[in-house]
Amino acid sequence: MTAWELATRGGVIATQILPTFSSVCLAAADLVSSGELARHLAVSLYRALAGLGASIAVGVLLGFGMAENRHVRNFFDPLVSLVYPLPKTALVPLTMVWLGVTDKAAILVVFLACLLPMVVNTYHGVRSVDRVLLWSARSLGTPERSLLTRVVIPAAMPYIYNGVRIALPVSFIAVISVELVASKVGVGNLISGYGSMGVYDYMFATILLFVAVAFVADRCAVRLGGRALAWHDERDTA
Amino acid sequence: MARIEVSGLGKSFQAIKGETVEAIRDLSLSVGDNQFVSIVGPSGCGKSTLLYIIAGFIAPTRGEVRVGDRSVQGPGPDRGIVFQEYALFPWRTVQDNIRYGLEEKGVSRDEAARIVDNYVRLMGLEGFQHKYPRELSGGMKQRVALARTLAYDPDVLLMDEPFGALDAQTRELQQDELLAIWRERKKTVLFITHSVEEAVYLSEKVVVMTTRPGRIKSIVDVDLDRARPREEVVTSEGFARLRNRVWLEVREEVLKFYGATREGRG
Repeated sequence: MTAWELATRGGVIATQILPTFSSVCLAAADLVSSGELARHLAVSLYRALAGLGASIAVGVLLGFGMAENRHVRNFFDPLVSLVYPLPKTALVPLTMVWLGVTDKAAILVVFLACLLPMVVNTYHGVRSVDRVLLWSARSLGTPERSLLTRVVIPAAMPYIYNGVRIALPVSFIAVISVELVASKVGVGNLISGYGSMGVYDYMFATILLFVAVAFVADRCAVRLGGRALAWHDERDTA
Repeated sequence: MARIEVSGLGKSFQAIKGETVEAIRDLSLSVGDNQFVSIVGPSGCGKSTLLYIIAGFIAPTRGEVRVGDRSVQGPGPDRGIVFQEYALFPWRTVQDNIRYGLEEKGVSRDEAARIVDNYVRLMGLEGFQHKYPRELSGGMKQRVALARTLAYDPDVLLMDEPFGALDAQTRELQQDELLAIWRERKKTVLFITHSVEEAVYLSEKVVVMTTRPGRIKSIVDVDLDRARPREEVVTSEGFARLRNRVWLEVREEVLKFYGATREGRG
């Protein structure tokens, strides 16, 4: 940080390219105190978490379905593989046409971006349930139809949680990507706005503040998951 | 009446390239009520496959298994299983693992708590009730696995090399604990092991299986006085005689299997 300040003040790096650290800090303080950041942050977070929530619900269901049923797997496998390499931001123009410059469009892009990690991780979680666990449960009196809730779901939880941890930052990236080009509000819109006006200290400030929020969100996810999944031993494959 | 009756059992598997592997051929075996019977044999002879068929996890290709005079159609709480890998539910604590079978049985919470406490004490798990499997040593995990199976009181105990992953000292201690439990609770035990010494020490009958396709090679009756302490039993002449006899039979099969693999017939 000191190096940043010195380099920019001393003229080593032109302030047109990189604003001084102190000016970025001032901008950040202004954004926070004026409530400007909060206003846009609320929109972006709403869109990101809504898209994430939908992708978790659909992704987990799909992952389970594909893991348990051959036909489901064969049907969705090519679809999933097609969606994967597609940059979701390439879909933004399409979503603009379908849903306009709205919350729904942003949520859709987030949903598509987060779907894959949720499906893949859930799928592997279900597939890697050790058969001796299922057999033991059966011998202990669990009927076949109850195996899903009694054994498979608890055993797959660490994998599903892993999917969420991966999908969370993806949801943030996705929402910003959409908002850079196709939104009138939101953090992404804020960034692109300041950028195009040349107000780089505010632009940097917005980016850094958003990164800080994303970091906090991830830490929260770790804390929540860590407690509930304390039993999980990463060294075991099962 | 035999508690476990295996008649003309045959089991074949489809291997990856599509060829058929015959694991068991024409195997018949009787295990009497409250008997402790071990099965030994070379690797790959089908010992575990036999146990899994009796447990109901796998269906036979031919033949029939009856337990308690009922034909085996699938797994059930009348046949408890203990695996070498322990197979504890990692998301449950020690006491919740032990309680699992009681939950399925519909036992009341208070009664279940009482039974679980009993087994925690019996298996020397005091202080560990609230720990998760990941925090336990191999020996402790095996004790929990055994407690979990015993807690809901199955008539038959099927054990697939339960002590195989333990160190030698723990293994010996667990063997004696198992014997004490068997003597007190009167269960029919079918015990699979690679160790001839273990089989002779624990069982009333040792069944030797042939190499693949597995069938019964011979059954050796063990007439040792197990009321004597371990030190006396293991160093006695009777034990040595029986151990040698069983070992030679198994050795013969091991060499057959080894010879077959060397010539590429696997």
